[in-house]
Amino acid sequence: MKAKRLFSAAAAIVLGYVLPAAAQDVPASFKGTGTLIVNNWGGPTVEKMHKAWYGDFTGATGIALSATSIPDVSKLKIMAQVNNVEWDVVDFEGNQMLMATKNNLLEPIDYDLLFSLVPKDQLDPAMLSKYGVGSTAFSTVIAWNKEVFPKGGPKDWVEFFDTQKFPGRRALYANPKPALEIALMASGKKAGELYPMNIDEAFKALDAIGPKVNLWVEKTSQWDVLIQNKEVDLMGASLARTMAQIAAGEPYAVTFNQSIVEQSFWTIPKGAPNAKEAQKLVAWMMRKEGAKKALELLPYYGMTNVAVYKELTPELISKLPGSPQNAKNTHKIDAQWWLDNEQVVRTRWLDWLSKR
Amino acid sequence: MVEIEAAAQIASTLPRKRSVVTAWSRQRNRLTFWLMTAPMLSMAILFIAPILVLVWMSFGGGSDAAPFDGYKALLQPVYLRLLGFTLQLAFLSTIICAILSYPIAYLMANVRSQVNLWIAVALFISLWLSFLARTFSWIIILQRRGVVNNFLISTGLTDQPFELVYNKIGVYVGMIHILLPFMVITLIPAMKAIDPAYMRAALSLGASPAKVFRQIYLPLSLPGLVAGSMLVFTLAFGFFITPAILGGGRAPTIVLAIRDQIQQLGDLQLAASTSMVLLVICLALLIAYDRVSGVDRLYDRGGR
Repeated sequence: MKAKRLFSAAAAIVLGYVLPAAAQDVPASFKGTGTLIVNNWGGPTVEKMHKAWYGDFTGATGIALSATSIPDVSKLKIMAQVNNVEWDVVDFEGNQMLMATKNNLLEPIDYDLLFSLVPKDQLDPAMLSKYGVGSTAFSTVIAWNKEVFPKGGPKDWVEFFDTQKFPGRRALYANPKPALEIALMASGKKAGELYPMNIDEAFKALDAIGPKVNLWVEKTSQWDVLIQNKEVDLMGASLARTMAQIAAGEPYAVTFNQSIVEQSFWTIPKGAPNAKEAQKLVAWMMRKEGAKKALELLPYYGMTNVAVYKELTPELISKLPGSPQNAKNTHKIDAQWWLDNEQVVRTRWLDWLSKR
Repeated sequence: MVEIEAAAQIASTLPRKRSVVTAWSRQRNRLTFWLMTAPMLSMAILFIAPILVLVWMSFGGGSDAAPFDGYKALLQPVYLRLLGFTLQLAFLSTIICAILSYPIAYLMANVRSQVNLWIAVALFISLWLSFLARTFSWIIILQRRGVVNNFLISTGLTDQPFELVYNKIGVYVGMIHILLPFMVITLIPAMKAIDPAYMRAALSLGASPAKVFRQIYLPLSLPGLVAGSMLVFTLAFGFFITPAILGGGRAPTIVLAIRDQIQQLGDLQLAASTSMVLLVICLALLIAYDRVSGVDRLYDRGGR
């Protein structure tokens, strides 16, 4: 322990000489020790994004980072029950965060600390909640094969299911969220006017589009295979996966109109071994620098630090789901509605699937 | 006279001999006991304790729900339908696996050739590859522009691609591919243990090869077939990601429901109840299998 402290002191001195700017950037309250365990969704893409957010966090604060996957409320519940919480920071989806909050599993975010590092006016107030700060927004968009539809693809979900205008094979996520939202928009409802959802109506809308869906996609990684092999012509696909394939030269295109966005949040579990240091990391990740780096690396996600949009090239901004021009007609998943209705909807969804 | 004397001698030595055996066996029992402590303890900690925790959770342990909430929720038709489909999937996969594995195992057990080595290599390599990689490779092979359809179209056998994946065909192909090696590997030792003298004797007495196979070889290899079926069935019963991906949403299994119960709903009681039902069904089938062939015979050395 003594040796370790001596070492980190030595490291701090060395870093102080090597990176004087970084050391000055950080308020003294952000210095710390130990290792934070960050629980994220895993995979090479996520690791890259995290690296961009972290930047030189370890160098600047002296707090080391270590990653593990996958965010799971049930697991956290068990960890809390046996009094052995292993995670310091968890990247929960919106309704997971609410479920964890309902079970009293989360630590409130220290906003005084956060605003001491990042000016409040840089952050989207809708993404600052008591127990979590917005991490990424995951988008599902309408995508199509340009070789099959050279004159352009469907502009909304009504057209997406118009088999006269767009004959072809279709794929959607095998998940009621966002399949029900898509079904409702296909029945003519407007984005942003779907909640509170009438479940009977949603399933009736699902019955209508069901026969037109050729395959239901279970894993996000399947989109890559589907696009590369032109297995389907129209998709309600992951924006990140589709854009990555387009960047690799695949002849697909997307529209942001009626795209569906699900917000995730950084949270700190109650009883986290390093809860105090975790607050510092969460605040750190809200900095403009990290958000900018993450978006330059993978321009497929929405960001909580909206000031970043002023600093990006117009070309990059045109690709971002969270940029003002693209976010205009976006449908945001209502995490609270899903938390309240998930039990009923998921059971009914399985019932619907198993009858086909 | 000599015989009687010898018999008497044996009789007189018997009790003494037994006492010697008892001392030895007592020692042996003690040794067995100590040697068994570690495996029994690890069984208790690693297998029995978690199952007991699961039973406790299924009756509402660790939550404030009523004890039978989980089991009551399982009576909904959706769960019965999912369970029915999963049982059907597991049964059919097991039967197809048995039919396909039998000739492969027969070849590997009875024919000595270089080919055997290559079959073994192919089987083991497919065991080492990850489930997900194998599942995705079947998509590449079976999809509309996949290897199979491209071949069929280029040879002019068909002008429209066949729907080979994202339906139940794809699910069965993927599952059988993953499960087949388990069946073959269990069948081989059972077949190797069959004494070829039985078949030779039957043939020399004039039985037709078909009759020899039906009346001698097949019954003697049955324990291996039962063991393999049990293994394959239990594995198939727990599959969900392969059917979910290759089925394209047309093959939802009961395990998919358990995953949702845990990951999406956070309802550990319902998940535990569902798992208990699956466990009980598996145990019931195990007992049924035991009635048919006798699990103890599995550890017998075939026909010997």
